[in-house]
Amino acid sequence: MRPRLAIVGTVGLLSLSSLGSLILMSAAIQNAGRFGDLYSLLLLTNLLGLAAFSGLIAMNVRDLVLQLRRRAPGARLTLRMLSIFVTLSVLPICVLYGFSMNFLMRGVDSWFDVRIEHALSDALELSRSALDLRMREVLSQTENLAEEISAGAPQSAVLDLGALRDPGNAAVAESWHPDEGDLNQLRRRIGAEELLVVTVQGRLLQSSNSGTDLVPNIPPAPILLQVKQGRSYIGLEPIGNAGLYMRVAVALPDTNIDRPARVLQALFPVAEGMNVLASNVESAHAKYQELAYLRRKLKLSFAMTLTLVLLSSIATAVWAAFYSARRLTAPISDLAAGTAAVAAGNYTMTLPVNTSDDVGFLVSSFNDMTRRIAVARSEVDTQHRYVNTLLSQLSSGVLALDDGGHIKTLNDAGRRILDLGDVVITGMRLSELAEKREHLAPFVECLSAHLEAGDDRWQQESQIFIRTGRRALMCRGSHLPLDVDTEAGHVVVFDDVTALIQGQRDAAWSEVARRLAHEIKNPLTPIQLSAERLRQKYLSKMAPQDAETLDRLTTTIVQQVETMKAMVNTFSDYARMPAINQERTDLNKLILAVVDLYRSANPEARFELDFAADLPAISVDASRLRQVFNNLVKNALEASSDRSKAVILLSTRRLHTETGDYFTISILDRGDGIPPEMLTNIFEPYVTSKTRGTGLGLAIVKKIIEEHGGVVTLENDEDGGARATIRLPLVADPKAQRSPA
Amino acid sequence: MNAARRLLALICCLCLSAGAMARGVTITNGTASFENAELVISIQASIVLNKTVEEALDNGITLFFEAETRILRERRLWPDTQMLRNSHRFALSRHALSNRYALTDLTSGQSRTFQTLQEALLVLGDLQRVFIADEAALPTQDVYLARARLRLITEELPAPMRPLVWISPSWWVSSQWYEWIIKR
Repeated sequence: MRPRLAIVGTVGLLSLSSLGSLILMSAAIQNAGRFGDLYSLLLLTNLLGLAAFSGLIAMNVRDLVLQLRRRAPGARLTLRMLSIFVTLSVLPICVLYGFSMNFLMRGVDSWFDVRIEHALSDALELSRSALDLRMREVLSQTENLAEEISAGAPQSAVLDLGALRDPGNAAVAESWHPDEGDLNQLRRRIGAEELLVVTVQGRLLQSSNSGTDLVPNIPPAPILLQVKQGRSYIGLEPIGNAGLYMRVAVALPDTNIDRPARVLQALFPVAEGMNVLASNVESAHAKYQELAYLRRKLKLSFAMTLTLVLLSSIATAVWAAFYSARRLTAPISDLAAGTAAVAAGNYTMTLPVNTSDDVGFLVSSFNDMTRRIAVARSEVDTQHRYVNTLLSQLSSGVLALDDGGHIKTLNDAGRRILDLGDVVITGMRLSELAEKREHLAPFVECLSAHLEAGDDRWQQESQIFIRTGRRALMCRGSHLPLDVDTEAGHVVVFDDVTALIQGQRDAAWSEVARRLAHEIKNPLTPIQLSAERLRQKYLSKMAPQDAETLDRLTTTIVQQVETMKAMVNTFSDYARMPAINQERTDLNKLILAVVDLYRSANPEARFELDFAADLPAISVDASRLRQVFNNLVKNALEASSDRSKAVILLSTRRLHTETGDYFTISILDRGDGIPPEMLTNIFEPYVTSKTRGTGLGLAIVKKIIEEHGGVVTLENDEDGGARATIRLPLVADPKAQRSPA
Repeated sequence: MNAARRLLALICCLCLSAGAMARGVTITNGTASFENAELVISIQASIVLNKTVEEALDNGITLFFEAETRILRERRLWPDTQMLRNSHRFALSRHALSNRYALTDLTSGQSRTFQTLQEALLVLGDLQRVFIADEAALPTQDVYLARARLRLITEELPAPMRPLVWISPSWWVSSQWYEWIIKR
């Protein structure tokens, strides 16, 4: 409140000062004698006051414009109220100003009347005429006197005119004392105040004065020049404070051409009554002439004063309008700001209740509302935290989506399973998630298909490949038809079932191996022994032709039994594959050793190697991986129909992706490729395109690679042949590689 | 910031133009002497009034002139010290009845009339032996700088004319400061 009081006090003081100075300025214009000296100061004060008000208004306008631009609460209401206030206050002031200006101009003009002006001019002219009559008389008298003096030839007494002007020259003053009785007598006779005889150069020859002023009034040079030219001078002059005098200067005729030309000057006082009247007329005429001259300027000054009053009034009214509008809209602005704050989530917003009127009641209700909302929100937050805690404790991933496919929540287990790290995915669309995290594309496709299909309840397995290898996810989704006012959505619960599937598969193959051992392998030994005993017992006793047949048949039986034993052993080995034994291994060297083995056995085949040089040693089970490379190189050689023309391309690379670093090993042959119908299940046991073999080679390869957390793919190359690609994760912790197994 | 600079430039221009437009009075000579233990100065100035001022005078406006004199003591690297200051005022008016111009010395109260304005201005511009101060008011051993100017006092004009005086250079009738050295 204190700043507001200070502002109001300052503006009030400013208003009073402006009003006071305006009053004084108005008084100064009407009566310059009273405040005339202060007129400029008053005008400057008013201009400064006006500038101060204009500055205040400009600041208010700027603030309002800024508030309007940023759509501040209450700004539009303030503008509306301001417009009303300003219109209501300024419009009457402007109308009043217009009428006042009109009246003022007409009023000033009404002061001046042509008839008065003419009357004053006539009075002045009359005064001049009256004086002219007298002046002509004194001129005639003086001219007659001049002729008389010329005839009488008064004595000459040359005096220095310059010396006479110097009142300090006592010597000259003494020598000049008028003792010429004739001149005095003549002066008294014509009724002159002063009578002088001077040369045309201005040198005083003789003088007579009736007063006490010892300094004669020497005629100025222009008058002397005029007289010298033969024209007498007669003029009316105000001399000092003595009033009007008539100065007459005439030439003194002289027959002696050797003497300098002389001038007779006489000063005649104007009669006292005439002097007073003439002075009054002259004074009134001068005053009226001055007023007439100042009329336009006076109107301008009045107009300026009135305009200053107008501008000051408007400035005060506008500022008052600003102040009033802000005061009236302040509680409403506060309410609007509070509502906006609540809408933005600030439920602790409370507003000060300054009044007990309707607005105060509204503010109290608002405060009560925010208090209740804050309590309700606190309860919701508690419930939310409880649910979040529950979700975070789940081992399954829980993903909530809205109807638009935007991710709303994902619990910690879900983030861990999907290997999201610190990426913020809340609010993200599923398609955006697939773009940003490419390894989740299969997962997203699985979810999107069901969401687009509008399945209420669904379940599907999906696979993703993350830093730690391939993951099998069992996803279950359901639609969430919530309350009417609540947005519906979907919830997807997914589990990492990689270990479970692997365990199930291991158990299945173990069962197969056990059955094979029990059902097939066990009878093979009696069959083999029986065949050998037949051969041993009857071969020597039979005819050579029969013996040959028996030998061939028993040999076939033994060989086939051996083959079946090898097959069963291989299958048993697959099912009972021991745990991997990791050690730091240089994969390039390991592959090269395998290639050398086959290169020596197949010297005609061509092996082309393209190994990356920057591959570090990694922790793998070298013997198991050697078996992988053996199987793949062997398959590549066998894929070529003519081994002498076989071409095998082996390459290694280091691959960097957003999910981590990998090794890739590519083995490419130029054979006939893989039949397309076998591509989907080429890694399953007993799936083979070869006429010989157990059909377990690629299955074993896949199992070993998966036990290392990697992935192996087999595809036909565009230029012919098949390409096997192995991708092994490069992780710092070797145990992480084993986790998929 | 730009607005402030523009305002400053405008004020500077106005000040310069005001100085440049100060016309009508030119001091041609100034002398000072010590007479009878008094410091008196004499100034000769040429005064030419423009039509605007002359029109005002002919319409009954009394014009007030001021002969302003300052006696300074010069100092190196420091502003000069003002020792004495004197102002001599005159009133010039027109007497309508006699069609003459009256020049009144407001200091002494003496008044003279002239048939023409030029005569009045000649006398106004010829100031002889104007008393400044007693000789004792000045230290004896110094050399002084005298500075004088003659100007029309616009502050004495009727109030309605003053706002116009601010914006009309015709009313800026003043001489430049005339300086000369006084040696004792």
